[in-house]
Amino acid sequence: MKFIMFTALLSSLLLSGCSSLGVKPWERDVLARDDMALESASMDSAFDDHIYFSKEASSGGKGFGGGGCGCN
Amino acid sequence: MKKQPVSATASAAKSKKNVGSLLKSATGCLLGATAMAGAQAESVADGWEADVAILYYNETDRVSALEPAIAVKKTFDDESVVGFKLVLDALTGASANGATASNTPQTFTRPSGNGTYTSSANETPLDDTFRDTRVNLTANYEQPLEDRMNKVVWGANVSREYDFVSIGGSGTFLHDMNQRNTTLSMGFAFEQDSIKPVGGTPIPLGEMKEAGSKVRTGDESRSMVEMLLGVTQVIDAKTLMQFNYGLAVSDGYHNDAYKITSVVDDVTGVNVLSQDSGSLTNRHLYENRPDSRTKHSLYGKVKRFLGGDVADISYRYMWDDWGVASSTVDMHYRFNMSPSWYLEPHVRFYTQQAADFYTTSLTETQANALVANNGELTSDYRLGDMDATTLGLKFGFLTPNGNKSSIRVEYYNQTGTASNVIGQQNSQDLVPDVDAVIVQYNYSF
Repeated sequence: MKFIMFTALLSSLLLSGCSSLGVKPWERDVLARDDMALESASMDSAFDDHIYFSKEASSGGKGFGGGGCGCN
Repeated sequence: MKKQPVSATASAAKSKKNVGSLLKSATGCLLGATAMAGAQAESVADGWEADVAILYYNETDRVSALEPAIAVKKTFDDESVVGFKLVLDALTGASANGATASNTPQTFTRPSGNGTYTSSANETPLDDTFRDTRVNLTANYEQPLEDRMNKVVWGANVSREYDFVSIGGSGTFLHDMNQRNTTLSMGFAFEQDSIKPVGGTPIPLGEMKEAGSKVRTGDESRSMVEMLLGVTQVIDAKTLMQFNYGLAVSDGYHNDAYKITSVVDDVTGVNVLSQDSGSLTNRHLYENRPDSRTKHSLYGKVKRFLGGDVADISYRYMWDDWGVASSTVDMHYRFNMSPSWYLEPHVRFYTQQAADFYTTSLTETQANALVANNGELTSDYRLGDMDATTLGLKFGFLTPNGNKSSIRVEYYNQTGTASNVIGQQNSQDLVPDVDAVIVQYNYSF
């Protein structure tokens, strides 16, 4: 319960802070570059997730952690 | 020219790709459009983007894998996106069975129950029969909602191996706000796995039997549900940030059916002889993990444009109710050498704390108590204390016809730490390093 309340408080603080951040639509030329996409190399990322899922005890974080893999 | 607003999560509309007629036909086949002829087939395939890749993974003296993959997607006029991905995974080689190195040669029964394999004295026992082929198909559909500030991404996943079948689905809702500078996301996923170990499912905490014995049970299953909450924020014209919280709850069979634990003398650390008729000479117990697991993860990422280059740094903290806790730092730096090529070094550091029930081996006294109490057990080094490092370099370039291509080479090292080391085991390398090389080629069109 404490964790949920902490997360809710942190989220609301972050969101209120976020409203003063950002750029206008015409300032997005750099952000629109392919290499600035959050997931700019999805094939590499998926291969890596599969390797580390099968070799380590952790998964997930940036996306769902299920692997559809019987390797661990 | 008027600039288009860009969502914080979706990077902007991509330039239209050149698609060779042969490859267009291949894409059309994937869509079931083979019946269409001539210009009609051409129009269906038009607008599809494809990524093909092949990855080679090789561990020194252990597993090697070859993984070809193809992903296709199309963005429609209403901004909806549909995508499919097919991955094949052919694995061969040797895999640690969990038993510890000993000062004498050791014999083990193959997973099928038929035949044996032997490890030399002072060598980590490896099961050299490991061989599998995995086929994985995923489909995604990105559906913008009416006001274009919201969208839903649906996903489906089917995966099949020789001893494992998995189906899963997901749905993620994304909401843009603050002039699309902030994106909130909430997603749910489920997965249902069927586990069919070669030779049947061994009895947890049961002893490894000699070849020919068939003391096994039937197939097993596992289910998992996940939730992922995320915030993506544009900080300034050159910086993006992302935060996620993930929760995954799984229920069912979590054992690796092929992993065992060595039982050794309380003082000398020498393998104990089995008292059970039908068992191997030395006593080895099959692992017994809990039948449920709850995992949490916190993930943060910063991406920044620096004078023409791009820095990408992320951190993940993951913990679960098995006692595992891990930290991962992942860094990429893309040097854009010219508009047509780049170099991208990659560094990843990973450290994990062992599961509460991990032990490198058991003493006879510990083993007897564990069996009497049906305790939890694994000697799978992947659940032990571990540090891992990845070093890589990627070279990306545009082909003469303007398509993206890249090759990357990475080195991956795992260093584990043994626990519960007894007597003669002090002179053994109980958890040897695992070293792997990864080579991958990508081509987009």
